[in-house]
Amino acid sequence: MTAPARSHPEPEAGTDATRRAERERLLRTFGHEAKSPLNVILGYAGTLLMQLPGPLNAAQEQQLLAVQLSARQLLDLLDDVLDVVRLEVGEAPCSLQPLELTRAIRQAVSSTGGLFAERGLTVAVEPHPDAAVVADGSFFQQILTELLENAARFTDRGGVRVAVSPRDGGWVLAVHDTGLGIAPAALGALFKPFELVASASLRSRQGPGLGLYLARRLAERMDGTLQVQSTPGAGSTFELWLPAAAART
Amino acid sequence: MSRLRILVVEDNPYNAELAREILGYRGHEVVAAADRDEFRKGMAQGLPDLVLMDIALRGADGEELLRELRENPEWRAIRVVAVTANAMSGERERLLEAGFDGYLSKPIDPWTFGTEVEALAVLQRVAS
Repeated sequence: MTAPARSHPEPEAGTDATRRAERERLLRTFGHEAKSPLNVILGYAGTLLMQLPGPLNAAQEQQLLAVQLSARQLLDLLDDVLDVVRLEVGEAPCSLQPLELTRAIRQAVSSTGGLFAERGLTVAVEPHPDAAVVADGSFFQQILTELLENAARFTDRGGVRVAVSPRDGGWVLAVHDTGLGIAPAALGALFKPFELVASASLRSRQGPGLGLYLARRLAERMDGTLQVQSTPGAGSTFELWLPAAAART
Repeated sequence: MSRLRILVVEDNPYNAELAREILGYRGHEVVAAADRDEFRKGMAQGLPDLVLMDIALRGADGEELLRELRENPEWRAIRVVAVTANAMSGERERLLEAGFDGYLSKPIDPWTFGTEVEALAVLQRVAS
């Protein structure tokens, strides 16, 4: 990006654009510089676990799996932090278009299906043939993937049901799980960054993160909402509401 | 799969070595280039079947090297795959529009990287 000419009639706008371009360049550079060493760590943990250089004993394999898992957690955190920064400074490109819910849901479910199979959980989708919303396709995938991963993480028995229904000029996509549930007093903290519900049983599963905070921010960026209802011991329901596609055309 | 000559343009030596480890294990020849000079040297030593291009190289951006390659009549038809750590939405579309033949994101998955690279090289043969 070139600097604005000195005689530019709107120096303010030019300065803003330059500043924005510089911020974006910094974010890109930081992301690249941070992921390059992670690529090395994850890559060599992988080649060692594949035993390309030679056989491993059981202890070596266990330790490498810990390296791999931790590097993946760090990568997820890094991706979330970069997304949050882009949203906070209003630079996450958001392209709102009509989105057919049935197909979009199937895409997210198939990309997270392995997680449920690993934990012996079921996933049921109850689509609605007419459901179409106005959304950014990749934001939508990011939100639904987070909700599905979250549900899988906190559910030991049973499974997850994804249902779609019309409401208030839009569509609600509800993700029901049969997991631990969350105490009413703790619900507010759920969408705050790094404030996972302070319960020992939850904490043992995964450290506090940015996932649900980011999901809600992405929903709001698309003029939607993300809410939760929960009954401790019986499970939780996350509801993503997005405006109907027909309402905008 | 027949032996491929793959030029890996990557400024982090450990990452270049990682590509060599995985692709070399599968029987392919890997030539590493850390900058524009080494890229030109690698091309001059023998045309590769495929170029894996890191797109945030210090000094010479991968997109500039792609332009240089496309402007050279002898190099033009070589398949070039962007490898990038920039996971921003729309990046894939932007790079394909810029003229890359494929896109792989970083961190690579060592379990699938070899077959992904081979698939991209096979596509070239069908197309050309």
